[in-house]
Amino acid sequence: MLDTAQRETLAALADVLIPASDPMPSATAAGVPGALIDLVLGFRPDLAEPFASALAQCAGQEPEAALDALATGSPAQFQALTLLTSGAYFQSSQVKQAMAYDGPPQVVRDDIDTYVDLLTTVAERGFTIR
Amino acid sequence: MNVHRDQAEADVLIVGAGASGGVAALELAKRGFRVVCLEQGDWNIPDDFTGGKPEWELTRLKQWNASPNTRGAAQDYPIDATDSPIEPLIFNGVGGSTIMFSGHWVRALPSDFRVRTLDGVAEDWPLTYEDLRPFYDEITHHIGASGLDGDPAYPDNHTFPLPPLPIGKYGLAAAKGMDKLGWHWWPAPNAIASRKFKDRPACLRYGACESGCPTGAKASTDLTHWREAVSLGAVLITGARVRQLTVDNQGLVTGAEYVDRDGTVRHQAAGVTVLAANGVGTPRLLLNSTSALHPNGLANSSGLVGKRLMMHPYASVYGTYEEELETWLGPTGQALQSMQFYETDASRGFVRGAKWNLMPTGGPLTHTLWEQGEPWRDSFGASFHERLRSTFGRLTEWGITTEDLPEEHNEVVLDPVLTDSDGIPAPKLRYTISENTQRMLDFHVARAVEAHEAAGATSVQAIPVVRHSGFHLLGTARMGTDPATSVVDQWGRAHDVPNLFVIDGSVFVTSTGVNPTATIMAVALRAIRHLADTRHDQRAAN
Repeated sequence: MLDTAQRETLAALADVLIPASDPMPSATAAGVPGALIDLVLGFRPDLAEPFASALAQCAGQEPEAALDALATGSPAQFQALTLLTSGAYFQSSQVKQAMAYDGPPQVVRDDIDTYVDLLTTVAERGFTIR
Repeated sequence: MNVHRDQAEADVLIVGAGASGGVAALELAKRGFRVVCLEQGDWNIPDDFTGGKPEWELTRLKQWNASPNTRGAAQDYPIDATDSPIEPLIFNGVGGSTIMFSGHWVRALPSDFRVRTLDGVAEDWPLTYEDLRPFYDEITHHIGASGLDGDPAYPDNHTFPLPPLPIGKYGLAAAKGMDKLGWHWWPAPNAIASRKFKDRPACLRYGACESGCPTGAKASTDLTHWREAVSLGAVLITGARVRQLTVDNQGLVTGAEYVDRDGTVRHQAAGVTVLAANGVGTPRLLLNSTSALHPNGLANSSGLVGKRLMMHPYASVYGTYEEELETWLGPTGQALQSMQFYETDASRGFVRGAKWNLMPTGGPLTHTLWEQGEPWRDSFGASFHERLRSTFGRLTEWGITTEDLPEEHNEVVLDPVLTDSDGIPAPKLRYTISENTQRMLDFHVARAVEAHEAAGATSVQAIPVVRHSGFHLLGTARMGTDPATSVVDQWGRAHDVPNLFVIDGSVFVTSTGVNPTATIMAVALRAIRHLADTRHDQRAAN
């Protein structure tokens, strides 16, 4: 579980990584530094250590400069930070609503009628079989 | 070390519970053989897989990744791929790599078996398309493949038990592009149920095929073969990691030593042993099975065990489209395939060719991943939302499977240092992309760019060789008629060891230019049926 200082560091970094852009909320507005980051850390416990290291390296620093240094000097930690931040972001119901994303499951429906005319051309053209 | 010999003897021992092992177990169990299979992994059920669950996009990058080196699970063995531009992809468990394959259910073409005769390269197979056709047909109908009859790229009007899966908005856009160019395309055949089939439900389009089908619609052999084989009496021992095959003083294989989950070394005796452990696992096991009679590994008098590795270098050409094409919808799976540039055309500067598949591009997280070395502001910061808006639902892939030809310097060897968690020497790959394949890749990538542009793509990006693409592990124990230049005969029987068989992708003479699972299973069924038919002439260990 992250402590308050780690969450504050994450919030500062996360809003640089994912700022608001209408209609999409920023990372903090979507709730990334709260329950969502805990959720995705549970999905990927292998990333807990590099993620914590990323936060430690960036703590107390100006976020943009800290991210520059992390991406260059500690790519594994940067990858853990960005993957978990965006992974948490897409868990947000607010984000899903803003994206108007209604993903699977979806029942299979035939769509042969949409392309059968095109396919007739392919069949008529034939193919040289060796 | 003590070796426990507490298993009942089998008529046939199968090593590996994947695609070819499943075919063998079911056929032999139906025919009344006492079958035992040793599998280092475990059973999974569809609910184990994370597709459709909140954790899917994160876990497919680790726990449910197709690379054993990335997963690093207890049942996995490491593979040193530092000398290969392609990462080997394998799943260790009941169903084997069919648990994670994309389900592209593609037959080879007749020319694939006659490349020496037609193109003057490599060797012809000791069997033909016509020899395999009844086995392709039988397995296609057994597993419930979905597809549309009448593809003019094939010489016969072979059928599918299920209608094709939808090609979707993105498939239609691509088809219109191919139509403008006058190029071949066809709604793609998939080993995925478009309707309920036997006890498998229809696909729910999660697009998670490559991390395990959460629906049970994909025809992985745990569902299509192993359940039935076990119900007919086949014994499947999971958590059993084979470390070597054993031989008697007459040169016959007597079974296998394996390490169980408790670390106990056991021996499974059998009259006949069948290897179905894939193009890396099979040569690894043969090379690990040294003895006074076989100092260079079992069945290796030709020196070709592990040699001639073929991996199908794979290119991805991504097109971005203005309109929302629902490219987050599965299956993954292929919507279309094209054989337009499959056959040799000498004017292109290379021989042989490649098959194309049109695929979707998954959920939102996929589109925002940062790759080491790329400026982070290309993925994040002000770019984050723009990249997401322009690609999510709007990005499709023409994937290109190229036929690499066999070369002896491309090989699987035993790593001198690396071992698995039981101390068994691990495999190492040495693989380079040949000039012929490189030219093939260049040509096909350029054509796929044209295909996207004809379909209306606003931008196109190519990855000429995708590292994370090595599902197709072929050729490392090739079949042939001459014991000096091949490891097994056309029935999979080792030239050196008359009661040892290899039936996985290792036996491929050439790689073909298509996804190999249909051919692997057809070759395996043909071999095992022959074994069963000729059982009275088959030598077996006592």
